[in-house]
Amino acid sequence: MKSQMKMILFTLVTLLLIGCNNNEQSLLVLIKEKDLVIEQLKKKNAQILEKIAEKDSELIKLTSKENPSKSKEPQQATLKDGTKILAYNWEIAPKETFNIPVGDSYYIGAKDAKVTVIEWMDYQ
Amino acid sequence: MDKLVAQYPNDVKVVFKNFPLRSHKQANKAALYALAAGRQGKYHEMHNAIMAQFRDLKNNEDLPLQLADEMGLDIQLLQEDITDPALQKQIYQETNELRSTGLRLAVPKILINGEEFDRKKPLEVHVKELIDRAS
Repeated sequence: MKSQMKMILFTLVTLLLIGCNNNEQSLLVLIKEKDLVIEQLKKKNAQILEKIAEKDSELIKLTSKENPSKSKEPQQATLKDGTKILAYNWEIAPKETFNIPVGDSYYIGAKDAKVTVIEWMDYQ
Repeated sequence: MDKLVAQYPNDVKVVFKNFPLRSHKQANKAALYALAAGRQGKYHEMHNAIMAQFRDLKNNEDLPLQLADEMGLDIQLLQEDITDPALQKQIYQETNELRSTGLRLAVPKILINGEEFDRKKPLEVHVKELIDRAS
């Protein structure tokens, strides 16, 4: 009788341990799956941001062709400290000055020119 | 931009920085070709040539090679140079410079004396005003 009890107890403890182990493994699998979903969402997010940037570029090209002074729409901007502003009139809106070095970038014109124009572009 | 510099050769400098959009599959390679052409002293020529035919890039990412051939560049050297990590690093650097401003990531993006060009006036008018103000 005593040995039977011991046997039952041993079996129960073994089952409990196996159960815990399986539980831990399934949790790890779940975490991996969640990580995968997060990565996929991040990728999708990046793709959406790229598409927005692309559409913005198209919009800029189109509006500048139409009439550069025609746009009366408020424009969103982010200042360097992260503050979001909505500017209706750029003449009075606070304008931030960015100090971007020429660095190794190619340029045309005078080295010590009074006016420096920096243009970011892509070739498509 | 060329006209602007031709008009005010002593007063204006135009700096070209790359921001190849990831959705434009051939844009990064085209930027590499332009920088590699620069090592042979033909950056601006290559830049203008690619810009003039940018629509053809979609179906032919090696269009710059044909252009380089027409310019008389060393094609083998050009192909070697586009694989140089230093050129890709320069593109990343230029891209990050725009990102660091916090401005909307849309190209073309223009800064004039550090301020974003708002396109309220034609570029040449705005530049002329700045030159007059600085004189």
